[in-house]
Amino acid sequence: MHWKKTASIFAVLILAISCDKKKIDTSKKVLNYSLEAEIEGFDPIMATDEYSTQSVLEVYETLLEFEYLKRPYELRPGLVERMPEVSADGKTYTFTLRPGIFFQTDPVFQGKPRALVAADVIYSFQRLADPATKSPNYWVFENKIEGLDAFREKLAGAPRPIAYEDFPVSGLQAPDDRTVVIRLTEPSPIILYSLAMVSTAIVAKEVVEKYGAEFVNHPVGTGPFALKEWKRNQKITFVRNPNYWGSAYPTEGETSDAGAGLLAASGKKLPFIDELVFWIHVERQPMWLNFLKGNLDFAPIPKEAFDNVFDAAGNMREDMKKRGLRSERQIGVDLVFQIFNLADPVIGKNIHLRRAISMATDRVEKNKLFYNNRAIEAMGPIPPGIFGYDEALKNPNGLNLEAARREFELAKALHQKNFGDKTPLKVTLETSNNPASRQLAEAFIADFQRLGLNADLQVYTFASLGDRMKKSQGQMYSYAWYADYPDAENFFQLLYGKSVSPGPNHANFQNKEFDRLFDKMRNMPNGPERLVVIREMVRIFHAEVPWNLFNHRISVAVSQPWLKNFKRHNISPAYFKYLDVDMQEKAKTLSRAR
Amino acid sequence: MIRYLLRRILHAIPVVFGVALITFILFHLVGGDPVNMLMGKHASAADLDLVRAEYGLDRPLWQQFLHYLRQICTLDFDRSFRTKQSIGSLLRNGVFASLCLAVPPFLISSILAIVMGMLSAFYRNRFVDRALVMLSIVGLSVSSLAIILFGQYFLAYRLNWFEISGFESTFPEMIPYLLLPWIIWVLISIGADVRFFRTVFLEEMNKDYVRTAYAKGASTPRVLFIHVLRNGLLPIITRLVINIPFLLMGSLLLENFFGIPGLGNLTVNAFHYADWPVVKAVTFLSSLLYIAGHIASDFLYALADPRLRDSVGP
Repeated sequence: MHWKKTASIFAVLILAISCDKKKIDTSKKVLNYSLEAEIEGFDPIMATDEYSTQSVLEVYETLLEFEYLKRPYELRPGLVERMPEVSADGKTYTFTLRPGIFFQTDPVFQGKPRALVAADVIYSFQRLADPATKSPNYWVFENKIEGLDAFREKLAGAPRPIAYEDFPVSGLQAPDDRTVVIRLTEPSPIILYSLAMVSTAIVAKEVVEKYGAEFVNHPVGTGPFALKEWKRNQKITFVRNPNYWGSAYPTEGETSDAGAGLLAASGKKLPFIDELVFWIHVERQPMWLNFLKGNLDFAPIPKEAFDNVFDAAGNMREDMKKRGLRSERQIGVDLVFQIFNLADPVIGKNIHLRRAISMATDRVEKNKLFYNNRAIEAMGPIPPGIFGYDEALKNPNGLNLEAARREFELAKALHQKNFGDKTPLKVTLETSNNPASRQLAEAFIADFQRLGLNADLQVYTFASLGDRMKKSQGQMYSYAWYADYPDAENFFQLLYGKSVSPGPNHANFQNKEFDRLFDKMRNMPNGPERLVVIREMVRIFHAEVPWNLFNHRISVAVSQPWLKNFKRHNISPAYFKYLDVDMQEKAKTLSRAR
Repeated sequence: MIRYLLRRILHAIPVVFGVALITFILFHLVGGDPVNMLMGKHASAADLDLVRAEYGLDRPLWQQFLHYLRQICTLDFDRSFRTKQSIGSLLRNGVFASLCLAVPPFLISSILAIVMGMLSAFYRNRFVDRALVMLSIVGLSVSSLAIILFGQYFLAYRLNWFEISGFESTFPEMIPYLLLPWIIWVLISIGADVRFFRTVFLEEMNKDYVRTAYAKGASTPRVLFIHVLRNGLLPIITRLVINIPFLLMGSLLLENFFGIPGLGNLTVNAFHYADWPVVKAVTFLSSLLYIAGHIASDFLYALADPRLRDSVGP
């Protein structure tokens, strides 16, 4: 019986260790959040995904930033005192840096406070343009800043080390420590959005040079938080930056924000929390269970759990309400669609085929089946929340089976005329190999087959699919585009004739009138004139059908009762400095639940 | 024996070369262009060419392969294209977490399976045997994903017995996070092992030496755990040692669901993002592990069976 006793003691010990419930420390405000994937590191110019952007922008800052509460999305000064002065020709932007902004403490500064100066801005922008950094984000300045493209070309293949000061850029000037002058190649109001993007965040030259390849692990910025610890593939911990200059919580928002308590902290110095922890949950179940257990302060609702939170009418279920959970709904500034590769002779030469496919697509059914109705049907290429979105617009190529059949008959005749019997009329949709994409694509294929179209599906790894699109090797691809910035230009550039594959125009759509209008609209400020141009571009889009439109996704998140000031921002995901946590309430709520 | 081991290690060199060649060819055929992945959706043709040249990916394939071989020889795989982390640190962290996750349940499940397999064989066709066989079949039939989802939901979330997910790299702080994955690992793996070991021991128990041992008055535990176990060691060693490489690479689901930063996740992400330096490093590491596993099993064979030791020479 001796072994039984030993085993019992061992089991009790193990359970005691595992069930040792941690008491909530209310002495500091800690916010816990979940990322779905590992980040790309802490170098601003290398960040391309949402999670990396979120992490980098806790530490680094940009000249401009987005208003937290206002919709439609609007810019406001970040590291600069006020919005820039713009010259009469619309090509010169003059920025004045705020005084008293310092980088976080780091050994590289040898114990001295290191103030942000205009030269840091010039250095950061030149670094983004330097081909040796291999940044995927240079496109934000490409063809925009006078002399910067030439700087990039000069540096390509040049012997290293290089001092950027030896290669001055005419369009980037720092007349004094607080003034930055940016001269553009042509008037382009969109440049301001670039200055709020993560890749244009300001870094200190001596930090980059000191840490070299390890700079990616040593972020030293001016932002509200400093990196405390990064356990790869596990969690990232930030602490409040004691040197932070302290931007203030906004005093204005949408009309509903005051009622929702979102203006209660107006004018208070940011940030509110002492520690920010990003947990990495690759799978959704652990993320969701951790949220329900109170280990996360807010979370998106996984598709599988949606019915547990909301009833059929879309109201939050009673048990969730009892927990004090609050839901928050945002229409994404995105578009899910399929690209018709117009360089493919079968698809490209047959407008009737593209129309037939589009008209046979049942978007409402897919939204219900695959998105719990958390998506709205896309009627045009511009999503809601962006200037130019037309709420009254109907997709002329939307679901209409009768018209689809007519178009398909015309498509068959045209195909016969183009190819005779040599090439069968067959369409292949290509998608990535994650199960959700595959299932959705299979449902689309079923729609196309309803017409009698010989359609099939090919599945590729994410990397291979991207490769095929860049090389223009497929006929149709499943795709989604999330706005880099809230402007119609960001969606229309996907159809610009000068950006065909391997550029972002994977439809290889080329239309002279569309291109002419694109060149015109991208340099226009928002207003009635620009709206007319945008409407005409949308008309051309519908006439030519380069994409099979699907939907704009709605993301629903739930937050714990102790989380304050919570309103997600779809363009700038680094809104944690505005959030607050009532630790007393958290401790009380969780002790009741446990 | 040492010469034998050296010979086996020398034989491994062409195997590593072959694995490197196959990996290289396969990656270039179906892996996707790493530069496309690296440069993202906005990259122009000029940008892609520039970066391809920076990484030497515009060179002829044979030159790129030679570079790969040089990396294998120097064990310097540079940095991940995607995360810019040094491959050495990625592998070190991943190996540690994977071993923490895998080794304890591997040892526990192996010992349990051997004991259960032996009991099952000893009590053949009786209640104990039938119960163990039935439990093994249940364990084999239920998908590992279902066991993970169930365990995480009921044991960790509903009953609050374990942490839902997470990892700590220090002892004993890691135990609360690893207990549930360990239990699930044992549940997932034990069924197949019990069935296998039962068959091995059944075969042994019908042999003459068992009857002789009993006839000489040896007790049942002595017959089972000295005679039968010793004679059944070879297939047991084969099965256990062949599983060793999977301890590092084969626990992707558990890693993902329990937030354990091991090698499985690193490997899958590397293929997903066409992160060529990481792909090269993990395929090299896994081929090394396989080869090491085979050499270890040969070595253990020789230890377990003097006839084999004699046949391999001094």
